[in-house]
Order: sequence, then C-alpha cells, then structure tokens
Amino acid sequence: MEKFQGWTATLSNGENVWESPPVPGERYAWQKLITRLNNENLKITSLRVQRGRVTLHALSQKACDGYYQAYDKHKALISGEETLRQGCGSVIGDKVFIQWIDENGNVWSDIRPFGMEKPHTTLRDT
Amino acid sequence: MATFYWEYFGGAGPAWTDMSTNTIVFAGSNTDLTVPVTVGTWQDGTHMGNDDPGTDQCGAQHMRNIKYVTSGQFDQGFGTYFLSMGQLAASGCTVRVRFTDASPVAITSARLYAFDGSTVTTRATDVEVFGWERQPSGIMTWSNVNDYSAAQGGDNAGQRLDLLNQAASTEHHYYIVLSARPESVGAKTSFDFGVALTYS
Repeated sequence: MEKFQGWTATLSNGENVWESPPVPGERYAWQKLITRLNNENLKITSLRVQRGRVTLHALSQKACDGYYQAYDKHKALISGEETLRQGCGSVIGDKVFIQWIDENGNVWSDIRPFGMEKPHTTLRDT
Repeated sequence: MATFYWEYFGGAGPAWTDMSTNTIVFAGSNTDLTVPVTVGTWQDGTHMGNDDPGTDQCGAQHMRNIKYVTSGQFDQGFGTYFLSMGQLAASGCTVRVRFTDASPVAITSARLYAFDGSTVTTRATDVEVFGWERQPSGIMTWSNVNDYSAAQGGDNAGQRLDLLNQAASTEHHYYIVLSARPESVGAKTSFDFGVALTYS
C-alpha cells in the first residue's frame, strides 16, 4: 500500500483531515478546509506535511496566529526542467514561517511576508 | 494538474503559442538569429531557435523584440516609449507565461528570474538582463534580473522580477518583456530563464 503523502490537519473538534486529490473545477482541499473552518467555527490545532519518510510540523496552535499550506512550482524556459515543492507553515504576526519539501525529500526553511501569502493561510479573506 | 507554458506571440493568427522545446535567442538582428549581439549593447532581435541558436522557429512573424533604452523606456523597433500598459500592447510582449490548473488556484510570490541553467539561485554567466511585467500595478521601470559582473541574478529576493499576485482561477497569464546584452564575446551557455510561483 502506498504511503500517504500530503498535509494532515487536526481540528479543534478532534477530527483529523487528510489532503485529498484535487477535483477539477473545485478549490484545493486546503482551501475547502479553510472555508469549512470559517463556516463551522473550528480551528486547526496542528498541521503537518508528510512526504516519504519526512514529516514537517507547523507550530502548535498556541504558538502561532494561523496556518499556511501551499505548493511552489518552477519551470525553466530553455531546459524545460520543472520542480514542485509543498510547504506548510505558521503565521506569526506579519510573517509566515514555512518549511518546504521537494519531490526528492529535500527540506528548507523560508520566511515570507504575511501580506503577500495571506491567500494560502487560515487567516485569508473569506 | 498545474502546468506552466512559455508562450510567444506568433504562429497562425498570430496568437500566443507554446514555445515547446524551443529556446529564446537574443540576436543582433531582427531577421537573423545567427547575428550575435555586440558586447555591451542590447539585442536588436528576439527569436525562437531550436538549439543554441539552431534554426529560426518564429514562423511568419519574428518574436516581439523589446529593447531596453532607459530605466523606464523601451524600443520595439519604431521609436522610444515608456513602459506602461498604454504604450505596450499585451501582444507586444516578449513572452507570456501561462499557468493552468484544473482547479481554481490563487497565486502568490510569482517571480521570473535568470539563472545559470542548473542552480536557480545562481546568476546567469556573462549577461545583463532587464525584465518588466505588463500589469496595472503602476510599476513603470525595468527590473534588473541579471548582472553577472555585479553578482546579481537568480531566484533571489531583490534580484528577480516579482510578478503580481493573482486571485483564484484555472488560468493565469503573465505578460513579460525581456532585454539582454552580453558582457563578453561568445555563446552564453550558462543562461536560462525560470518562472516560479506559489499556489493553493
């Protein structure tokens, strides 16, 4: 059986939500989850991304203002080379602290302005 | 699935068309991609070649050539104009980056950069490159996305062309102009462009 890859969120009602594959014409599972959180007055209490043997953990709910999850994709013009990485992170004040993992399991950290990355956070505009 | 396309304005129509496996060639002629650009001067032609440079794949019309003039001005072959949406049509841009996904996704941190072809954070060798995104933000100056002699370039903050965020959609387009000049004689084999963005 293939090991699960993607994000997992634990909610304030104790439920675990796993990332599901995109459905054409519908928002990604992460965006659907944010909508659900707003509609049902729930919060994420922990967030992690699992890829292969690596699991990235965002901060605990008490240590951050919100959560972040997104993909980052690159394509070169001449070589045509493409890379894809998935990130999860925590919002603290006006910054988002992100950990990225690529398809080869390489991990690195990133800090981005919250104002720029807001659409991918649980604090996005509804 | 999220998919990138590098497109040029040409082909039948003409229309924005996938460059596929072809490459972008900055040349010293608007009609002949084999004419080299003189060191220290900006390109007089932008072409699509099937190698380095290979043969011209532009078709009936050559790729749009937008040449750097000053920090806020360009020349597209018939005079000097200011970088603005009013003075440069979308179809006049060098390339269009198209990003599609079967699901509507919001985009942040989109950026275009020049790099050495192997490490995205390493600048391209022996070239200087300016870029500009045709967009309504009010930014009307070129961004210096590569300056080898000044150790600038690659996918690094302040050394690339930052592109505007875009709201959720299944189709995203970025209209971009590019201008380049060599810092030395000879083919530039450590020179590629990259585009990257963050989405969900």
